[in-house]
Amino acid sequence: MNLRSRLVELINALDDFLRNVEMTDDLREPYLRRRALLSAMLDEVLRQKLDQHTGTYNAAVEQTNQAVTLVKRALRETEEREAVILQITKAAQAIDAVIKLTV
Amino acid sequence: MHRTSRLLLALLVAATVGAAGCHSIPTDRQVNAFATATIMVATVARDTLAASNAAVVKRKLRERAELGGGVDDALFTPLVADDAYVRRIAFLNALERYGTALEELASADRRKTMDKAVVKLAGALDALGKHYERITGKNEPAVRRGAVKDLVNLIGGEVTDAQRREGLQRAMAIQHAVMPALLPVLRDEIGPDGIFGIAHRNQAEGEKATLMSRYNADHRQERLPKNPDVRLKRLERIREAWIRADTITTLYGRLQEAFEHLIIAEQALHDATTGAVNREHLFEAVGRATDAARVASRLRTRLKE
Repeated sequence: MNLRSRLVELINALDDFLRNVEMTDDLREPYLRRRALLSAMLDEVLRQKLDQHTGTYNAAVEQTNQAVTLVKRALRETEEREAVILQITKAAQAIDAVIKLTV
Repeated sequence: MHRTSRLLLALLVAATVGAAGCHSIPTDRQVNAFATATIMVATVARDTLAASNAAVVKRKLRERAELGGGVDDALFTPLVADDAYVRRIAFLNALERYGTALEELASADRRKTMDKAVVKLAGALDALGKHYERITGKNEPAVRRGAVKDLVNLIGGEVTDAQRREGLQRAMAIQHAVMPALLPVLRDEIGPDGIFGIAHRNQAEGEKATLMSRYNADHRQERLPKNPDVRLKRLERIREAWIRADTITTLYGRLQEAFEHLIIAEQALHDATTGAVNREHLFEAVGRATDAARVASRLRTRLKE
């Protein structure tokens, strides 16, 4: 069992005690104090663990942004083609109108 | 058969082939569902990460209020500060943007509109050709017919859609270089026994234990208010803390599951783009990722209320 798990277990045991045992203020305070101390230690352990992976995120952000740019470009191209199609439809309608006029 | 009529027939065939293309794997619907799940998971994870960070400060404030003592900078410093926090949030933001862009592109199938417009254009050009032959008494020049055919092929829905799908596949391939390595890290950090889960639960459980122990101490020292309504209010607060702690544990569990399913779905989608597809597995993986993301999203909303 690692330090993190031990600290969590200790805090859980303290919580269990605090919730279910009736105590006076004098008794309760030291338990709360111990809990605060263990929590501060746990925060530190968690923080250190977190730093181990932080570097991995940087490269991932860049790569993800690349994928986003690619998707957006593909979307823009589709939309541009759609706009061209709309123009073509209008042109076709104009051709129809001209033919009707000349026949 | 007149050449231009043959062209129209060719267009109809192309449109039919295009319709068959709707069943290509992964389908737009599957990419769309995956994108939706990605957006939801990224949003909930970012939200939860921020909430966990803030919960640590909240816990320290409660401790200080209960135990007394002065204030210092450390009291207001969250669990994850500076670079470590910024990088994680930046990745989740990028992941959300990726999901949104993927969703938009997967929904941008304009094949029907384009094929319809192209048929209309071909019809008009066909009529123009006939008109030319009637007026001049000559056959329509072959060069023109060829040009019309090329134009129709170039702007046809089939070509446009093939390009759109290629865009989707290339983006998914780029993203695949990141996802299998990073999603498991996030899954572990965000789980109930991960860094963020532990920190958030510690605050919620601490609040519950403090409220209960204070009530018990007041009871033991006969300090509880005589009015039952006032006592009920305090008990209700304890109950709220109970529910909250329970919801937080469930949220981190569900969020971890959502990440797990997202990892499986991403791999299945990637396999599909490379041709190594198990249709049933892909369908199931994408469905599960979406369902798990919805559950996590609902829990997060409930926690905010």
